Amino acid sequence: MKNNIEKLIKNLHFENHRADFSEMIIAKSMMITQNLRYNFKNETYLTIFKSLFILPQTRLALALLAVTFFVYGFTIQSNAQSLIVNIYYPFGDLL
Amino acid sequence: MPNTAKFIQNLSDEDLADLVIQGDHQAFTILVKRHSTNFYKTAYFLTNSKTVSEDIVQDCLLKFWQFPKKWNSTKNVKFTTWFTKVVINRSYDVLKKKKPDLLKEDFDIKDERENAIELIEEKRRNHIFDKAFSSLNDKQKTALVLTVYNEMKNDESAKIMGLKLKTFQSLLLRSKANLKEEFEKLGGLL
Repeated sequence: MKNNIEKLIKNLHFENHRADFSEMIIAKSMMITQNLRYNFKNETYLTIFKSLFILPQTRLALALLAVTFFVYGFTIQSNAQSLIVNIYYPFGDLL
Repeated sequence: MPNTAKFIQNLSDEDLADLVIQGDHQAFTILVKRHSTNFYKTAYFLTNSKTVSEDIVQDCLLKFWQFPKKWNSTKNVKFTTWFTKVVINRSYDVLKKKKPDLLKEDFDIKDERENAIELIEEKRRNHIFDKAFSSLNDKQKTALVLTVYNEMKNDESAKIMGLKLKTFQSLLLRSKANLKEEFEKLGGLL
């Protein structure tokens, strides 16, 4: 009886998997790898950017940069004004 | 390079799985080629569906590739034992969601060969047996598939199913008795 049952179990109706079953899994795993690397790259850039912005030193640097731009812009404006004054001043009387 | 390829081909499953943890795709490829069919067979006999079993094995293997650290070689368990357990658990999850379809009534096909009657009789017998097998519960099916079809030893099968050896042995005996009873009830003769 035991052997008969075991023989029948081995003869159970069985449908084989598709021919390229293993290859398909391998190909999908490669796709996952590429995708993970891509995500990792994006995440890395984002992390670096975030951490830079959170650092107090970075904030200070950004503030200094803003002040510099403001002063520089103001200087340009002053120079421009003086330039206009210098150029047009001689004609000032005429106007 | 060819020597490296030969070397990696000869590594044990456990060593290959450890390499997969380090991200070695070649090791993963070898494991897939070595065992995907066996894992598929285990899933097939539990779900009785080609597509569902393919999905289960593919899903489990890809999860292993993504999260290989779930495999822990220090536990002294064979890779196949651990992974068969993973496949069986996944199959149970799928079965909980969807009951497996029984084989169609018109499964038998006409055979024109000389010993056609004997062949038809054999097919009828196998068909009845398939039905009887489908009527068993998941644990009984698993016990039979592991020991008889996958030819695993009782202690290894017990480990996979998370049972003590004696409990597994009695489950196996009960499964065979139930199978025989169901088979005879459906008109099959041993």
